[in-house]
Amino acid sequence: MMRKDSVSRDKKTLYAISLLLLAALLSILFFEGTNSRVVTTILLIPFAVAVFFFIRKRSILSINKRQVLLLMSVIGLVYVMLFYLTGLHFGFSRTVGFSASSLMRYSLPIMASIIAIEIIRTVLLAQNNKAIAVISYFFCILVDILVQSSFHRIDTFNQFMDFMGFTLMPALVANFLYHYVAKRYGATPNIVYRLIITLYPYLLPFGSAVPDSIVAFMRLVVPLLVYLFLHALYETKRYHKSSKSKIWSGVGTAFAAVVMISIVLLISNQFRYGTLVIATESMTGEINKGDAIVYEKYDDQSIAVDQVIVFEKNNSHLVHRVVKVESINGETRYYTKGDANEDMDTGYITDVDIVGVTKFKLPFVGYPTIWLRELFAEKIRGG
Amino acid sequence: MKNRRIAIVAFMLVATLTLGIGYAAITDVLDFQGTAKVTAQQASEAFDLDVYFSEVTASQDGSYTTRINADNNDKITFTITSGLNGQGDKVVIPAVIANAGDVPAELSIKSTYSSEPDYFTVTCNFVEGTELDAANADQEPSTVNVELIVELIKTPTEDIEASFVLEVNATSAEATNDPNQ
Repeated sequence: MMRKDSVSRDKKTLYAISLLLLAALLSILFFEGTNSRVVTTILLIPFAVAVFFFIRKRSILSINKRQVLLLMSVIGLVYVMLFYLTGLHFGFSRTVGFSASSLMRYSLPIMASIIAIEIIRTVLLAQNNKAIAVISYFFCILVDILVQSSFHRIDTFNQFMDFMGFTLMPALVANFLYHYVAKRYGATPNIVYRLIITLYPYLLPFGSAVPDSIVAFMRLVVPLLVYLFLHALYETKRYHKSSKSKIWSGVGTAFAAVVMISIVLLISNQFRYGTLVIATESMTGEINKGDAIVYEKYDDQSIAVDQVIVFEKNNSHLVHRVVKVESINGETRYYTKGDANEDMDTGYITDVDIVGVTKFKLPFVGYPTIWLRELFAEKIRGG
Repeated sequence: MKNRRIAIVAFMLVATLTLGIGYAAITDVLDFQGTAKVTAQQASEAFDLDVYFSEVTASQDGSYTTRINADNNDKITFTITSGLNGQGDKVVIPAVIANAGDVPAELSIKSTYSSEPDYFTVTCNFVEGTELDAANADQEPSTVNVELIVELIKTPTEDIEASFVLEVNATSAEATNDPNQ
């Protein structure tokens, strides 16, 4: 009887705390101008304390807690190390770095919010209640948005993509991993892993200048790979699989991996081949609006009349045909024209302006990009 | 586990495609530059009406360059260098109109001109009939903040060079109020 009362009281306290927390976090979304990172952290700490002391904690099931803690720490460190190694290819850029101001504005609030949310997550998940597990998943995503992004300032398409690529989509995936780990191995592995992969830009003065598209992809893929790794290591039941089934499964996964990596390498435009969506009709006939072209990076290869090239002019990327080449005083000048334009482009370009040589086109695949941008422009205009 | 792995791989594919769509670089329109001129005109010589542009805000993101006419500050010339690529894009240029005369001035838009009206509009966001007080006893001018807005209303399909003129009339508020003067 006593035990039943205690469980029921726990449940009520849990619901009350969950609803209060959700209401408080949601209210931050409507207060533009507030420092959501600091406010969220200040709200989370008392909730974490309340949850920790007033909710009965049930034991974590796994016997591999220490191993997982070590493993997650190593994975976190390898991730950061690989990130810095990419700087050898992409170069390095300044980060916020360590200072008294960055400590107060970034490091401490982020650190406190990570510890608080992981405590809350672990206690909530230990209740073995599916509804609470789902609600807490969305809590945690909301906290990530409030702590990590400047969601109040989405005025441009690039800011929108930063929010999607750096905050929302990674939060969806990472919290899937954190829920998995917290339920089985407790809060500590998540806290250590998250502190390692989150705090380094606020401690070190420089980071890799890796393109946004690659960072967003890494943030999307790494948590899922860690999840698959942990699952395979500790939980996969051994069962017999036919060799034919193994081959098809392997081929499917390898194909998906090749497609994903190709997409990321192409859109980053940092390697030998890059891609560009055609948004205008100046090359209609040869390359239509909505097509995407794949180009080979210009590396002093010879360019002849009639070749379609990618070049930069007035900070814009253009895809037009070379109609005349002349050499004057040792400088090679390329004159260009869009196939559907009546006139040649004004002026000429030189070697330094050329980005690449078009290799082939992918019909229609660029339309979603154009639609997305136009939709966003419409929304901004309307709202 | 097998189903879960298929679901994860499918999710990763869809998410990567979504990122690809969002992050894909896009071509721009060649030589897309606009020039706009804004003129504040004195309506009557009967009053000491001294209306001019006292300030224009420099672009934060390099999307335009601007300068105030050095002779009498009655004209702003600006050139848009980026930021207008697709339908709905707009460049907003904050400026300040001042009145240093000894009579109040009433502002109205005299005319707007776009050389490519199918593609661009140019507007100024002050309310028609906005009044600017006369300079105070310390000869400090009164001011009003305005925004010049150039908007792309249709995505261009070919090279475009365009120019704009926006003329703002400043007439004496006392003159319009008292027809006998």
